[in-house]
Amino acid sequence: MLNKICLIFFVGLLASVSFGAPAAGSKADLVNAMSAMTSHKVTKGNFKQIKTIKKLNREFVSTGTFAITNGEGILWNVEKPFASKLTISGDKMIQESANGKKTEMAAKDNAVFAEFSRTIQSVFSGKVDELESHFEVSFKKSGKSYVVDLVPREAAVRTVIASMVLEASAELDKVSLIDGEGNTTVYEFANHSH
Amino acid sequence: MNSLTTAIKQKPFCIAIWVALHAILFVLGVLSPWNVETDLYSVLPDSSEFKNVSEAEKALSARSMRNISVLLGHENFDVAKNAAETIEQTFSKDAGFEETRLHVDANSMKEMRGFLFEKRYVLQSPSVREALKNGDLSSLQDAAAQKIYGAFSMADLGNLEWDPLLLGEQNFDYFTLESPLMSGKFSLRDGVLAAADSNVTYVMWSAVISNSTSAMANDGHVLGRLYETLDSLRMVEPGLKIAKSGVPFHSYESSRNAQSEIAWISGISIVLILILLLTVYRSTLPILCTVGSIGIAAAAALATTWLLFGSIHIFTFVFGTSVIGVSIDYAIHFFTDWKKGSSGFEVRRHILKGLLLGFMTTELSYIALTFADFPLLKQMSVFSIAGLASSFATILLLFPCLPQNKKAGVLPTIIPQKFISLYLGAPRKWVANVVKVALLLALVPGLYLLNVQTDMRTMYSMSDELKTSEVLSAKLNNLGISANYFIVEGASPEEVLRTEEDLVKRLDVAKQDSLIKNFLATSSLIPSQKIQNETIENLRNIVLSPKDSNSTNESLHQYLEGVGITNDSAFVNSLKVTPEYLTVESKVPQSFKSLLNMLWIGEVNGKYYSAVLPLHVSKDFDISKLADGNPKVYAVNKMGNINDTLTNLSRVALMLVAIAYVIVFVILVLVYKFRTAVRIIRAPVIACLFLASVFGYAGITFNFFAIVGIILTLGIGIDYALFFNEGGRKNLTTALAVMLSATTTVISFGSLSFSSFTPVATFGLATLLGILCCFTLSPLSARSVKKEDN
Repeated sequence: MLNKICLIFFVGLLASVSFGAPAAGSKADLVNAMSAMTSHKVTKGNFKQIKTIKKLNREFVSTGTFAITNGEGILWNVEKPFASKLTISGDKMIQESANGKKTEMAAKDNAVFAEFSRTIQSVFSGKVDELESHFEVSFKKSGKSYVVDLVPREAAVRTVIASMVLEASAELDKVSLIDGEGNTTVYEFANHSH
Repeated sequence: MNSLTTAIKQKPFCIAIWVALHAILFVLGVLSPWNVETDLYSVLPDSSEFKNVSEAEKALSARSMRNISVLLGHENFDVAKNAAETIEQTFSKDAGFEETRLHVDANSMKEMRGFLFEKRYVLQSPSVREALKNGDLSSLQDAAAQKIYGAFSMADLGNLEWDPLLLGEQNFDYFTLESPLMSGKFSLRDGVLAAADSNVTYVMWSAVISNSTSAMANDGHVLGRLYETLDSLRMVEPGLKIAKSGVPFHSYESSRNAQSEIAWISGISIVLILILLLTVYRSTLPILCTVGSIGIAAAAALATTWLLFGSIHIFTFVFGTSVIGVSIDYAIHFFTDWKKGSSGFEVRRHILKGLLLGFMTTELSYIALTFADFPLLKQMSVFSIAGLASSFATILLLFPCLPQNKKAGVLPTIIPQKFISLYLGAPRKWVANVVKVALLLALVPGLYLLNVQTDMRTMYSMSDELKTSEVLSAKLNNLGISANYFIVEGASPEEVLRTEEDLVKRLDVAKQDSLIKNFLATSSLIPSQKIQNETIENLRNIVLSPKDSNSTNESLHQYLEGVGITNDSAFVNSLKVTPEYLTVESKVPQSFKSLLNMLWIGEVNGKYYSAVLPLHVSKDFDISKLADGNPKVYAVNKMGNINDTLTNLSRVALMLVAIAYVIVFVILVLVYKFRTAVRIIRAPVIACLFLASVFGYAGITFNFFAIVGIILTLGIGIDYALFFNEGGRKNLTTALAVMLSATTTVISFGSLSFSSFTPVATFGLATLLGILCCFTLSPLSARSVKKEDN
């Protein structure tokens, strides 16, 4: 029998990208808002990713396009400053670097990836119950806009991701991640099309 | 000569000789270490290469065989978790467990990340090492850029100036996300490891049984208490599902069942034998003496084995039951005669020839077995030789000193009389011959169908509950550890790691060929110093400027600028420092430590060993092929090796006993002439063919334990024929003694055939069939009635 304690690391990693948690009284609003946001079969657009590293006092900015096919998968195409692609589907994740080298990971072979894939897709396909299983969720609404705060349930995960904030109106506008060291990664979405 | 003959007829002389013989043996035995071997490897011959790794394998098994896990499942996760919490609270401080685990340390991921960053110059994945070796800087830069700018990358960029190629993060990915340990379904939930199956969420609680805890079930055993706690939890939450996994559960349940079964079987056997002997002798003295002689014989056998071998194997005990079987027969023959009122010395004179021949034939069989090149067989034989010799000495030297039976009584000979009458009213000779030939021919198809093979896997059947638990546990863990694995040997840890690295290259090819899915090896976590050195040297070559070792080369410069690093001094300086190389003694994170505990065996008898475990092995994977050509790599197919050895052992044992029987036959020819010798020897020989044929007809595999039954039949069964030959077919005392001997043997061994433990049942059934057949045929070994009448 193997010691399974080591799983923790990987699960923690997943949590660094996963979302989830109980809604504090306004779950119906949250479900409606998430459903509206993810009601389209395909959502495409541009994104800007800004990573701020406190220790270096620096920002790393990248831009590109994304495509979300409801229920099927997500394509993240980073164009600048270094090209790369990330494709996440229900059963696998493929990373492709600028020189075309592909790294593939199958969900059936890796519990962390399977969990990661389920969670990230739950955000973009509006699966609130799946989110709640991983995060403490709080929901604020202001007019047509709303903000969802997500705090990982797992202490081990919180050492990597302290919290996440989703900001949306009719579309998902912004996702902010704060890691255990206080560094932030912000995704800004624009030019949505369906 | 006459003075010796006179002396052995004197009580003090006999007693003195007997006491001296046993006292010497017992003193020497007591002074020897009292070791009991249970290691299956010790059944292998000395010449086997696996003997070299026997101790290493034992050390490996001793660790892995103490691990257990319990999955507590419920449709409601909180219920499952609460149950696991209860188990943890109840047993976390229990001395029966060395360690218990439920909650996951929140800081362990941080610790792992820090360790992999710190060791990035000496510890890298094979693909990064390959890139470094090939000078492929661009692929390393691409991978790092992807981590810095790619989507959903959670790489820690805080150390970018010290590690611009993010080698620490590459390590983290390799040793976490790409780890073979990640193939399971468990993930972190609410601080514990949980996995879902069929709408039930299971929480894992695991533990290591402490060294001092016995594998056998006993009162207050920690697993007994765990079972009770689990039962009470199930009573509170009827929907709670429990799956137990680990060798200790199997040992505990088997020994618990065996103990109650043995208590029943031996209890009933003893009562039946005592009733039988009391009915016949109507006195407690013969019974006390018989039991005493058996006890002394067993002690003498143990003392001799310890003295000569330093330890006794558990299998020897099974084989050693022949000592009990034959000892009781000798005693029965003595007391049946003694009961008639003869003095002890007269009785000895009556039975001496039959007893002596019986003793010699049995001992000859065992002596023949000592010539086998199997230490275990030698040990079994020595055990039996010593036990029988002690028993024979007791009958010959001690029993004659018993007081004469003043109340000479009539022996109950009605049943023997009826039994004998069956043989006296024999049909015409030609009819008898036709029947004999027909019966012998009937044995042939059974012998043709006989499957001589020992497969230990068929010897153990686990309970349905434990089987379901193991299947579920294997499904959720999905690690795919095979029963076949490698043990790597070396004169130093470095040599072991280097040998492992050669083996790993072969395993990588097997992985590409889809023969295995993955593998676990120490050198994947702790590379040899040679590899560690190559890693940092190749990195220095690839990134430092050939002209100025205080700066990075031109190609890297552009990348560094691209990621905004204008000053490379932190990176360059970190490369110039001599790294702290990893060794198996290094302080490593808990997850590494757990794996190393499983894989690194360490020093055993001056050499170093490790285990390499192939995972998810396909049926075409030939483990021995991978070890070919490397004498320091042992392909361990433990079950296969044991099975082959036991099968071979059985064949050798049979062959040697056959040779011994030829010698016995020659002796019998010299003593009785040819025809009588054939008559005597045919009963046990036909009995063995009969029992083998029955096994063939019934489709029961004729395994090592059945062959032990054969040897016992040959050893014990010939005595019946000898006694009938000596006493004559019409001698009711002889018939009664043989009948009593056979009945006690049938009760003892026959009852074993009801055991649920397959080896015991097979052994019991074989002996039962053999002895019954021997007994049935033995009156035919007597001199013809005409000659008897004459």
